[in-house]
Amino acid sequence: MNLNLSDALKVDHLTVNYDQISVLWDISFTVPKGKLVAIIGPNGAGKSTFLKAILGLTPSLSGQVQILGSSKKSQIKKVAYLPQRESIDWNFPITVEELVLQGRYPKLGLFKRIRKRDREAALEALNWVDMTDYAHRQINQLSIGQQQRIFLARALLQDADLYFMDEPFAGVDSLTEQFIFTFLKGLKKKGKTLFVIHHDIQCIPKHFDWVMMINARLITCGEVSTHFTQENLDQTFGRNTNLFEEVFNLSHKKHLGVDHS
Amino acid sequence: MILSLLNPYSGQGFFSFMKVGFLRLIQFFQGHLSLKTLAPDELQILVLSLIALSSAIVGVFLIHRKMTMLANALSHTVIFGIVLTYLILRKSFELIDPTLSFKVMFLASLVTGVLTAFLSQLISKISNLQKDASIGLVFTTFFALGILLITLFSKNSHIGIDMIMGNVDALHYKDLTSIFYMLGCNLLIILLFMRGLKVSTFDPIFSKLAGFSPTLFNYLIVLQLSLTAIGAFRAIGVVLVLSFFIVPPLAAHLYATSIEKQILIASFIGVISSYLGVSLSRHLLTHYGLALSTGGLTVLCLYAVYFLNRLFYQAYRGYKNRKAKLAAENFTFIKQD
Amino acid sequence: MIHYFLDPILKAPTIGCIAMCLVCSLVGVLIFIRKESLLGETLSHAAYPGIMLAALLTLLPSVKLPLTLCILIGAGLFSYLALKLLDLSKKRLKMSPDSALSFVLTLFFGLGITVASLLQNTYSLLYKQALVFLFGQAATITDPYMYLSISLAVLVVSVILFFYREIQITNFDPIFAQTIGIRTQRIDRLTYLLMVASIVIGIRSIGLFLLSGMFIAPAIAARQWSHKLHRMFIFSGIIGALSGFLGIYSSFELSVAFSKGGHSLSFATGPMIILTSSSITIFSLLFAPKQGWVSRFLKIVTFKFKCTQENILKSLWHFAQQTDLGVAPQKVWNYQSIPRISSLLVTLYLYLKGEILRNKSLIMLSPSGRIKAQNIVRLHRLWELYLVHIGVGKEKVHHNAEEMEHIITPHIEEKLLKLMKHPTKDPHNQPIPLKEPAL
Repeated sequence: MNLNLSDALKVDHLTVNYDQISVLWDISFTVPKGKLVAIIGPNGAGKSTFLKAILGLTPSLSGQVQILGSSKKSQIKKVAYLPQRESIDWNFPITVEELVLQGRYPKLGLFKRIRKRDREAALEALNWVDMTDYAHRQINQLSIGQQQRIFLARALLQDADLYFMDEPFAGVDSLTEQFIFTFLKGLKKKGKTLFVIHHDIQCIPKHFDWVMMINARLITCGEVSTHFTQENLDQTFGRNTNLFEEVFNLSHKKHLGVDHS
Repeated sequence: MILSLLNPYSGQGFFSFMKVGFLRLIQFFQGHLSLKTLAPDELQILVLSLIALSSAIVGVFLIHRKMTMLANALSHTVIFGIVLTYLILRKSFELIDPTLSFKVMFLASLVTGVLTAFLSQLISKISNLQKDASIGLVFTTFFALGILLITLFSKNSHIGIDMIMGNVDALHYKDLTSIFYMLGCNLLIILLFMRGLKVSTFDPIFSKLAGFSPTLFNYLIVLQLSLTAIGAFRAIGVVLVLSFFIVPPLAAHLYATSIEKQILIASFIGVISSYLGVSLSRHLLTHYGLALSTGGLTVLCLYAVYFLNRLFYQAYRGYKNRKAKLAAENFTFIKQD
Repeated sequence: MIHYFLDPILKAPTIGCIAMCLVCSLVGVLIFIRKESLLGETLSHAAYPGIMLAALLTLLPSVKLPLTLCILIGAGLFSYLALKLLDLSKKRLKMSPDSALSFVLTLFFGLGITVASLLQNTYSLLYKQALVFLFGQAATITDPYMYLSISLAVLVVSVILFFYREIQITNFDPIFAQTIGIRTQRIDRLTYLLMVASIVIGIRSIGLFLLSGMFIAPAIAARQWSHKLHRMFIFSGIIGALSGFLGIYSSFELSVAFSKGGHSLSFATGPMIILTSSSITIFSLLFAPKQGWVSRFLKIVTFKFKCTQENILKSLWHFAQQTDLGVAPQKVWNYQSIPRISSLLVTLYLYLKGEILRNKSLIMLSPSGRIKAQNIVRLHRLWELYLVHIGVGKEKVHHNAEEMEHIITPHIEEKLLKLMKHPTKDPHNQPIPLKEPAL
């Protein structure tokens, strides 16, 4: 059942200590290829930290992450990450085309030149997201939906196998939302695996086929049809875990030598 | 140094300065003049322009990485580094040796820069202290140490002031060499690493995923920053070098469509201001008998150029907006037809 | 040391310095809690052109005020102007706060250098007098100036006391402050005015180049000793005043000590004050009881020691379930996979404490040790049950309980018992031992 080659992502006992805020504990799960995965959980419960820990961006206390069956560091190049909108400086002087071209950098490295075929691929990616006309615009001239699209284009150019998105639908109009979902489903059909941190619980059964619920620990991970239950939702968003959090934070403070008063 | 009596620029006003300079430039290209027969004013313009070029390169990245206060801090700790270097090399403090060899400069900048950045981060992380407070603690302490050492070992407290404020008028021909090297270093680094620098500035997470370590590039910028600050301190002092780092790039940001263009425009602004500063200084001396600090005047020119830029840009934008509005109105008008 | 306060020459510098540093360290707390620590750097450097221009203005025959007063007014005025320009840069020029601070700083400083050069070349005597405010010169503070600083210090302290409540609420919960009618903008403006006032007060002793340090270091140190605002003010004030005194003291004593045989080394007061306050701050960062690095490191070591003790006791308890005879120490250590040296030390410690008994080469629990071990096992199993209760799989609970058994306090234990209605069996169907009072 645990055939490594067919799993997009396999995580074992991932534990992350992150200053004195969201902590992740002992997370283990497996996600097969070709799924559209929704990641949900209360705010500040560690969803973004979780994503960053898997990508190796946050130091984790322990645990092993296997991307497409291998835990080598270079596997990270097979992952595309779409950042939260707030973390980008939209006044940065860069054109849409140049931003999309960045998708080639994992392959080209620091020094290899950009060739004509790279530029053509970039324009093609822009075409996929319906933004060809904007290729030479500055990014501060784009709307929110357009901004999301060009990041999708960059991810496309990366030719990644796994996609991680942190609240891609925040502040986006419904037309762009539809567009993005169609786009993601198209990627899924090609065998890509997509992880989306999402806030709108209601629409999950409609679009996603796999769900992960996180609240400092992994409540559940599996098919939406079987795992997206009221009981699981209660445990994720409910209040009966106060004691857990209290003890958790206490332990954390003890390990940092900080006074717990 | 050429005596001021033989200085072709003495006695010139603003416009005659231009004329003299132009003529000498022609003579230079005809081979009659060489770098060794550089007039003091020309030396000043050259040094300031080179500093401006270096600073534009580093400054653009500093602004986008929101590292300007770290730059301020670093320029203060640089004083400590320089003083310590002098003490260790046991050069006489009375005559600050302009031939402080480039290798020593490089080493001093490496150590002070990395130390400052590293200590600030360490304190901030372990004590859970806000970043600006930890930077503040580190640099004020080192700066106090630097000033203490200066006042301890130099009988002439003027030296201390010159380090903080610089003295463009005391520039020596040999300063050119070290500044050339500094610019060369900076150019080499950005030509090689432009891609990594841009991406790690714009999207550090993507940069890490692509294999370009953001920490490495952070320290690269810190290195370039310290190098430029050390290179510039003799001319304009450590506090004013900050203005070269931030004012031209801020002005250039209005027009730039890419980082490269921003660097170019910022360089251009910096060079123009250097020229204006020196010629203004000469003009004031000639026509009003006022001997003002050339460094200070250059910085004021930088700001003047910035504000003019800003005004011009507002006007240009206003003009474009009106044009667009007019076009839109015409369009609807035609449609109604 | 007392003679520093009594000697007619030393009295004014000493008391003046103390007053000045006290004020700066108090206002430093204000800007620290607003996370604007580097504001002091920009505002103090901005006073430079003010000082120089004021000095120039005294040359006019119509100006009858003394030089010092003019300079102080000039410094204050330009600091205030810098504040306004900062605001403008952030709002109209849309600069990030970081860039705005540097932008304003170098503008004013460049202006200052230019005006200073004018003064320096044409009126060098006046220039030298103005320099005193750049680098500070505590030694030449006169009695009138001392009284001026004291009165200004008293004024600043009174203002802080008077507005204390508003300051506290505005800075820690601005939204709440507005709902109960505090005009937060007024407090913001007040803070900035206090900033300008303390710069004016402080530049004579420390000089405007180093003054920003006085706003930063004492506040950082104070936070290491307390998180409560009133205590932070008190600590910061004490540290500031102490730095002022020790700075002058060390500056004078060291200069005297090193002046032998005609050779004189002068330890400037300004840097000495800053270095003193930084040293106190570094000491606080390291050794403050709750937050100091050394204190925290010791706490971590103690905690880990306690955990190892409890782990050994716990393993002995498990072994005791199977045999009444003792166990070879190595077996226990391997069971818990603790490194050799620490396990030896801990076991020895437990033996000395009387919680382990020795029988030839075997060890076993003493009665008091057994009670302790039993309580640990109890907490472990209680916690496992709780985890299952909130939905964690049975296979996963053990690992986490291994960590939390050392953490659960009696208070939490009570809550657990209440929540799960005094259970008797854990998820693996093992009995939860009863709580026994310690011997």
